[in-house]
Amino acid sequence: MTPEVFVEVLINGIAIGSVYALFALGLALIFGVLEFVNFAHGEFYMIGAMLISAIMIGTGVNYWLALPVVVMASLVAGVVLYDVFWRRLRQGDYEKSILITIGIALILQNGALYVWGPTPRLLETGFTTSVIVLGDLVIPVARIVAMSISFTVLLLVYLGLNKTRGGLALRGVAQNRAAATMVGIQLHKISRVAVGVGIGLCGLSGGVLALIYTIFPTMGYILAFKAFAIVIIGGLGSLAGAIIVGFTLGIVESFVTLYMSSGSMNMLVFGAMIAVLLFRPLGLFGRQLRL
Amino acid sequence: MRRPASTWLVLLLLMPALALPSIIESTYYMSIAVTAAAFCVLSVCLNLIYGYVGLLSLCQVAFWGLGAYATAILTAHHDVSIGLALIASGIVAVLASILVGIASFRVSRHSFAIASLVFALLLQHLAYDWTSLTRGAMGIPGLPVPELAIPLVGRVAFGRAHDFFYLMCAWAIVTILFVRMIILSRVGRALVAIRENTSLAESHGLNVFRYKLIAFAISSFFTGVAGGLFCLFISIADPSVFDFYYTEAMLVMVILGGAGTFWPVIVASIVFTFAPEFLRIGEELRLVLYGALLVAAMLAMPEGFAGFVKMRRRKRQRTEFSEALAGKS
Repeated sequence: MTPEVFVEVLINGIAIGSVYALFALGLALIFGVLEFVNFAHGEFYMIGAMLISAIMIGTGVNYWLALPVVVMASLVAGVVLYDVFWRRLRQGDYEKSILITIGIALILQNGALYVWGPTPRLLETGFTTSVIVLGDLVIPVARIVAMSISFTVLLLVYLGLNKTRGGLALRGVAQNRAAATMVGIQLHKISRVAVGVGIGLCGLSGGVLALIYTIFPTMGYILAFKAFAIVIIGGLGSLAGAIIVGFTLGIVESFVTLYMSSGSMNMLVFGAMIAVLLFRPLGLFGRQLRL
Repeated sequence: MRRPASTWLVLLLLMPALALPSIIESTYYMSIAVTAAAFCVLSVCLNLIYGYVGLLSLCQVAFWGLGAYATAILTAHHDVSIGLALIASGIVAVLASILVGIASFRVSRHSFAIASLVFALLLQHLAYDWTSLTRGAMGIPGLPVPELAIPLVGRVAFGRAHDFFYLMCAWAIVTILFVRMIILSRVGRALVAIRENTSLAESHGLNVFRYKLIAFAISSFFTGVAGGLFCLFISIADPSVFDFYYTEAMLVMVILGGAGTFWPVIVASIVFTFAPEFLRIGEELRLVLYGALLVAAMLAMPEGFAGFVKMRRRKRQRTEFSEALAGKS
């Protein structure tokens, strides 16, 4: 492998890994605060990608205008979903929570299939096929754009969680619900924000990955498979774990698919998940003691 | 607790169903009947692991698909006899269940649900990608027609839906009897104890891990063989056999029937296989409808129809009781 190829593959891996990190972060955020897994996560990502393509084709606006609209729409969808369905769930209603999110996933996926049809589509942005040439290096602009958006948002989420009062309250709830409620943190408010941000991140990662991959109604499936593995390997509810494992997976995948089929890559991801479950059941970065 | 005799009674009541092939002419409706019998097996197995043990397994479809592929590969590529291939499919499914079980039973129930879902998704990916074994999206067509030498009748080929119905029904009955027997036995009581309070069951000396694994293995065996039978029926094994559609249908049947109740789940399997056909709902909208049903059921009657009826009855008794009290005073 020449150094140029190495750098190109690495950049590709970081670009995809950063979106995986965003997506898995949303999943971990929702789990951390509500203590249930959103099985519809992949479908919100798909809806994000579908929506951005529908908006751009339907109204002719450019990517930079459509993306914030999609993110806002996902955010609102998250808040509405929280107030309609998830708010009523109690601690320990995990089967109920899983089945409700599976139901939502099926409605979204098959609804999209019904409305938009199964044909894959490509997002036409004006920079879809352009590249930057630096000497021997050829870097697609779309990956740079995806990477910069993801890094900016990751930074924003980090600042939000660590530098604001709301972020502090959110981390408090994730660490210990009972204690957080006792010191006067409003559980419902925080949960609503967490779900809104989580689903918003989902829509965003859909809008961003739409730059790199084709868009079709069952795409959520494929990413959800990886995202679930990411959060299990990183440790359910561990935000840092989701981000680190997300990046790692993106980069490893980018190199491995040079030599292996994507099927073998999926085997590898599954194998890693089983190994983590066997040897470190709470994940690589999970809280080692759960109460 | 009900006595096992009721099992025979219910099966006796179901006997008229065996006359269906001579009443119904249409092959289309007959193949739906075969599917209904297959779904009975699937939902009884899911009910065993979810309703009685409390483990939400999202990989029953993986065992079903594994069974289908094992049967298809063994009969079409290796000339193994059908009976042997079906048993092998059951064994393959059991091995897979042990792998998933050992890895994920020790962690939280959430981890089990996720790990089982990831396993199901992985197998569908593999069915598409491992082309040297599964021929990818093309699938493995042209499977042999099962034949059986029955005393007094002679050799019977189960080629048409009308004949295959008996084969699938036989397997459904075997499954129902066996699972019913397990549930009514010591093992069944241990399983319910685990569902109700795992720590308490453990502190009473139950080997929770082993019981969970036994239940999981049983449910995967019957599901795997049913998958093998089903692919013989449709005469092809392709990646759609791993479709999430099956998981969804199974969940709707078990949950709306009432997880942890035995007969209502079987009734729900039959109702929910036939209802969409009669309503003439297309594939995509059917899944949307199932999804909506699932969400609605979870919000309105989480114990399923059986639980709903039980709750209503209890409420009525309570009001009658309080009215009687009020009348007395």
